[in-house]
Amino acid sequence: MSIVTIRGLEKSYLKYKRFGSGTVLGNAHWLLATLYRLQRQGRIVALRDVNLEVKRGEIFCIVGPNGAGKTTLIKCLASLLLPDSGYIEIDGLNVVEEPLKVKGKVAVIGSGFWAGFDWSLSVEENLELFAIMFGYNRGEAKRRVGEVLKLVGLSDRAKDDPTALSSGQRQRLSLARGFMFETPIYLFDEPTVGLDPVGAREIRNYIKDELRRQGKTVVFTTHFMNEAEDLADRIAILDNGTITAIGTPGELKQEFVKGKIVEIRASKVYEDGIERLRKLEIINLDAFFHSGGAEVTIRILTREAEDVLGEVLGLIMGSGGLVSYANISEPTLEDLYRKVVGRDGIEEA
Amino acid sequence: MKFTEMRRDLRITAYLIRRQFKVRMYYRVNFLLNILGTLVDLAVMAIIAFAARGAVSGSLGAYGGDYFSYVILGMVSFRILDVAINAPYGAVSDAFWNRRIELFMSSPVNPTFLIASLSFGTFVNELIPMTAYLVAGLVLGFSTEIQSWLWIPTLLLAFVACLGIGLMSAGSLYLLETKGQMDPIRWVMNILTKIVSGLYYPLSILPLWMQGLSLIIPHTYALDAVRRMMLGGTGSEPTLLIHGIIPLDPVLTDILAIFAFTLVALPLGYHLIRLGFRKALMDGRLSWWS
Repeated sequence: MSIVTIRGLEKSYLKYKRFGSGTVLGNAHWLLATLYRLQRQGRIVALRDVNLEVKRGEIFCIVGPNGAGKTTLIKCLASLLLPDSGYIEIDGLNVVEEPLKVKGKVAVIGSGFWAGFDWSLSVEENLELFAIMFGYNRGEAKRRVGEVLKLVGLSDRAKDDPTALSSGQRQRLSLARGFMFETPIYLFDEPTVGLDPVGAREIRNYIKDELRRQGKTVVFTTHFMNEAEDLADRIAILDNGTITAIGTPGELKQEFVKGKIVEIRASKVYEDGIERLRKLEIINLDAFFHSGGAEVTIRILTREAEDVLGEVLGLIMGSGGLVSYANISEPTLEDLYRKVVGRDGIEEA
Repeated sequence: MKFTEMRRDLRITAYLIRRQFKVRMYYRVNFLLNILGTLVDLAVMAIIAFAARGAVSGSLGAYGGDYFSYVILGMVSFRILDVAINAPYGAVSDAFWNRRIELFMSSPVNPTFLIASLSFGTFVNELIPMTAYLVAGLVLGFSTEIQSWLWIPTLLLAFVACLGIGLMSAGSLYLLETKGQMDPIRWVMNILTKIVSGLYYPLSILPLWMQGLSLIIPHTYALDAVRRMMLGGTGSEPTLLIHGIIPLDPVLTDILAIFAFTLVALPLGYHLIRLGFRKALMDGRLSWWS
């Protein structure tokens, strides 16, 4: 049964022309601000005809490149943004018509939300305020705040100002705020960004073990494909505002990355060799150029792995390159992502 | 509204009052300097009052005749109404620039209520310097002769009317993109209230057209009513143009006028701030960082 339903969702933003600060007019600079509004410069389309459903208790991931529309989608779900058209339903409630009721069912953690914490209140006072907003009394709020601070490893910073925290700790605080509410749905926009590897793993484990055990529904965005593979029951790939693929990791691999991955690392590969490599069906090619030729890592998706491996090895060694590693493996989600999203299949470092 | 939601909203208001107190006390030296500045203003007013006593006391019959008390009470009442007009914009602006608005709006609480609560918190905390002001005023000769305790609900009603204007101003932050320091509503109010509300002088000394202008702001009625009720003047002597038009007791006329302002300004303010938030949600410009 679906807990989140999105039908025909469209969202675009107006572009405005800036006039400057308006200081010439002193306090009356609202005059220029009004003119500023009038100078519209077209629209940026963020979401186009997005349709998806998330099942109750599912962990659902949205991946996509920068500017794909992931944050816009999360904000629309959280009622922090109104769609231009389309329909969003969360747990039986229309997001546009009943936003306050929806917000009572959704805990949202936006990327950079930590910036909104109040510098004049301590870490625990900030969280208490939001706990009270979600209906806890003072006693319950204090108890719950203690629990989530322990969960994110900030118990010893409870009395500090948010400004005294490092950026990673602020992200933990932001997560603590989201974990506090015990709502049926959690929306995370890049939850582990800015966290150290151990901290990121702890958060992933909490989502994977605790929230799943509690039967919570989680919708999250990420740039880390290992995170998506580790956590998600299903994944949607969002590119340029459109969902280009959706399914379980297994289904997506089966549909989009048929065959095996041939991976080769080599050095002393010169420009002509790289040009010949580019003509192959490459998933990804990283090339670091220096005076002794390039160090190259190449990944090729193919159904004839052994033949292609032989061909590439011959090509590299034939042009004087040195192969340090060669392997045939199953495709990863990263390969899938590069295949679906990559504009030309090749990215250079 | 359900009882549980009312209890939640009371808790939020209490917390936000405390929050505003912490903000005010965050830089303690600054807080003390502000109090000191207020007292210096008072001293200046006392000197002006002393110098102008003879010239204006004849026009103050309805307010007890003492210019110093007239000004001090006007300043305190004005400051209360000023908070109602400025605090909502300040709360939205602060939340806009600091991204706090996104956190507020991701909670199941009406954002307009949060803005009103923050404004109320600012008002409660403003009582600290106002008390200092009044105490120092009493030392310097401020005296009251209370005719009616209705001055308290009258001032509160005027506060609510001004809160409506403040909410309009806060809505303009999004509706007119007035994200700088000033917006047209507060800009106009700032000018009118200082010149034609009767803050520093009785309105009878102004030309007729300026007295007419004074009728379009709630401050005029609030200051007149509160002074009449607290300073013990000469009863029903008309002091505003409207007192000559409506054949009722001047205080009652003032209260009715404030009530009318409240009836118009509060729903309009609520509507405009809601429109403002809606526009921000459409534009994706809820906060500076959106």
